[in-house]
Amino acid sequence: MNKKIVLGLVILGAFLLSTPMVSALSVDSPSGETYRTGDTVTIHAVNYAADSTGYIQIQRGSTIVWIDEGGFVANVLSYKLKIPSSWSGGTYTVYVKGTISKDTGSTTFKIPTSFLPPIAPPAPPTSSDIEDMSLADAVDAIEDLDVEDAADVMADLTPEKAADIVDELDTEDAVEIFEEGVAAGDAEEFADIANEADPEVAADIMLEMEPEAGADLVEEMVSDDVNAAALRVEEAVKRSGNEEILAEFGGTLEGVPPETLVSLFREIVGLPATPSTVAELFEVMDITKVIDIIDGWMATEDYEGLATVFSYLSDAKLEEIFLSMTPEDRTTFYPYLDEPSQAKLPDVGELTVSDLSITPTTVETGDPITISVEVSNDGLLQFSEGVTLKIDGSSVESEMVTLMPGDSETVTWTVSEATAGTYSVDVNGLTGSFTVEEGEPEPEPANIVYHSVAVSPSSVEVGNPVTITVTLDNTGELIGTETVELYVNDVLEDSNTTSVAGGGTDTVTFQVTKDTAGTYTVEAGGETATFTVTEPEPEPSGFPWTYAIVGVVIVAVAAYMYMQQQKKL
Amino acid sequence: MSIDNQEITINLDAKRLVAITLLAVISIYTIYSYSIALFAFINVDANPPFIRVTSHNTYDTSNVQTDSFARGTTARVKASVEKASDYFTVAPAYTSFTESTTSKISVIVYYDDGGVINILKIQSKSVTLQPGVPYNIQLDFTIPSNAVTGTHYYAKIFVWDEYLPSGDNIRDLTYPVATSKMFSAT
Repeated sequence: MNKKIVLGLVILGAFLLSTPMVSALSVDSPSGETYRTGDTVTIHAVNYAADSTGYIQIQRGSTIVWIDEGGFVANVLSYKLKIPSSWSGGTYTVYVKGTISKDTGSTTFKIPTSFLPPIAPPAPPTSSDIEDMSLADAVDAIEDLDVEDAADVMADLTPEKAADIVDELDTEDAVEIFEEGVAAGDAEEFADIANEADPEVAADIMLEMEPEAGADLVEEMVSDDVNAAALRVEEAVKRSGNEEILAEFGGTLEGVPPETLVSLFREIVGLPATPSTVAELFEVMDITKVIDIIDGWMATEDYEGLATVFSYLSDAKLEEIFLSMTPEDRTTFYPYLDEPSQAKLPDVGELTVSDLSITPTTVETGDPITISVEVSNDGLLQFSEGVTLKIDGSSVESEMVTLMPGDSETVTWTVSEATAGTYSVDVNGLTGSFTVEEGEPEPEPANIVYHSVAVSPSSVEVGNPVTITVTLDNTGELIGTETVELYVNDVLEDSNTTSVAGGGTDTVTFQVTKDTAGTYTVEAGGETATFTVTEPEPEPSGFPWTYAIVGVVIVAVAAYMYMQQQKKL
Repeated sequence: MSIDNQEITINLDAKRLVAITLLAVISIYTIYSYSIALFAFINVDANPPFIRVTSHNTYDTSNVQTDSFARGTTARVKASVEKASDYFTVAPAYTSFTESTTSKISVIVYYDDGGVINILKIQSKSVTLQPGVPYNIQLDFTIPSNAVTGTHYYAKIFVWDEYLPSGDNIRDLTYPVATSKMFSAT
């Protein structure tokens, strides 16, 4: 064959080789193996065509028992199917077909026709099993369990063993187990584990847990061991990395009761590593929650610890928190703040004294003068201040005023001067004056004196009245009123009130009747008199002449009338 | 006009004959391959199946749509498949769909346990789809009392013209004919 023929054959061969190859899809698994129900059969197909998906069909005889689709990754389709208990024994054909290339491959597997119970899956390890395992085996065992079983087992392990396992788990797995355990009511057990675990591991778990579960965990951690919890929360703050994650962790802590956070934060402040930790949390937590915590903290009287936290706050947060505190707490706490912290706050203010009032400004000697000032607190703290009234430079009155922020009070004094003149007034630097003039002399006030007591008559028989006259003199210039009390033998007998004009005299009269003979002493206003009561004179005794004479007359008249009657007959 | 007659004489010896034959074979094969490819592009099936899964969802037994089912209860998958009944562009020509089509419709329900398929139910049937007439499918199944709670439960609808190995679905005609619905067990 000459060169041209060879060249032609080469060209023809090259052309034929350049045409596309026919694509092939092969199913290399299963390949005739025998499976039982409950087993997982893996369908493994290789396809060199450009198919991204393939259709899968499994049939027993002509009965279609399963249809699905699967994806090719790097020309390989891997499809795992758990053989259901409803599949009977026989030979099963598996088809896989590329959706684009239409290339098809097939294989078979068998299920024995005789009854073969599915292989029971090995029982999951118990907590006691895992307790006895090496750490590596225990970690593998936990990782093989589903999260619910893992949480149950972990809760039953000793905290030390569980903590060792947690230290080796992926953070994501550990977080799932912790969340499941807390949700299942095992927060106390998982708090023990967290407090035993490496602080960095525990911190990462707390940072990634859902807020509600994380709050429950932290609460139990504090209850279990506040120092261990403080170390891990401090570590969490250090490892948060950015403000967003720190804010999320702050949100988690907001779900913890304030009293628990007070204990936790006070413990953290006492740790030497990062005293700014609590301040960093205050920066991102809700102000309402922060104030709740501060209220609780103030109740412990650990003002120095709280002041330490404040010293690490930003200017804005420091002011926001301080102004949100109650005035009482602000007043108590302010002296504990260090000077730089105090300097960051707005001026706390002081009490102001204003509006000096002198009423009236001109009086007569002895007349009252009302002097008042307004004391107000426009500052941030409760203040006390002495307010002193000076007249002509001499302190005459002083009062201590204590006011809460926003409150005010009027302080009032009443003074009088007996000597005419102009007097200067000074109240805490506020000045004024008043004038006192000589006035008309005052009339003498009433002065009622008892002049005398007289009894008339001085002697009466039993049952007859005596008249007692009390005479009063008013030696003053103004009318006066006096209640005269009359005592007879030191027993109050009667009383009467009368008015006596200035310089005048008046009398008060009483009627007294006694049924017993004797001598009686009357007294009124120190003046006394006596009277005597006597028995009445007895009637004379002898023949009753009056009755006798009347009887004779009656008999005589009757006799006369009888005789006249006889004459007429 | 004059015509000049010329005589051409070709002498084919053996070498030239072989060369000409080779060139002829190559030319014919090239033209044939091009023509086949060209006809495959322009020679559209005059009456292709054009089928859509127009709806599919999960329901309780009162036909209230829900994506969550308690363990031990009965769940229901409902789907509707319809063949087109109008003219559609199937490049480069318009095509009408006026004839019925026989299709294989399959509904499968399974739980995906980390990549391992756990079969709950399959229903597969051969149906005749009339153009413009919806074909409704319903499959009831029980959520096992020991079913794993959570999502990763799927109900899928497949429409194929025939079972494998000869069959295929009809995805080449634009509309999806295999669809998936996710639901959960509680």
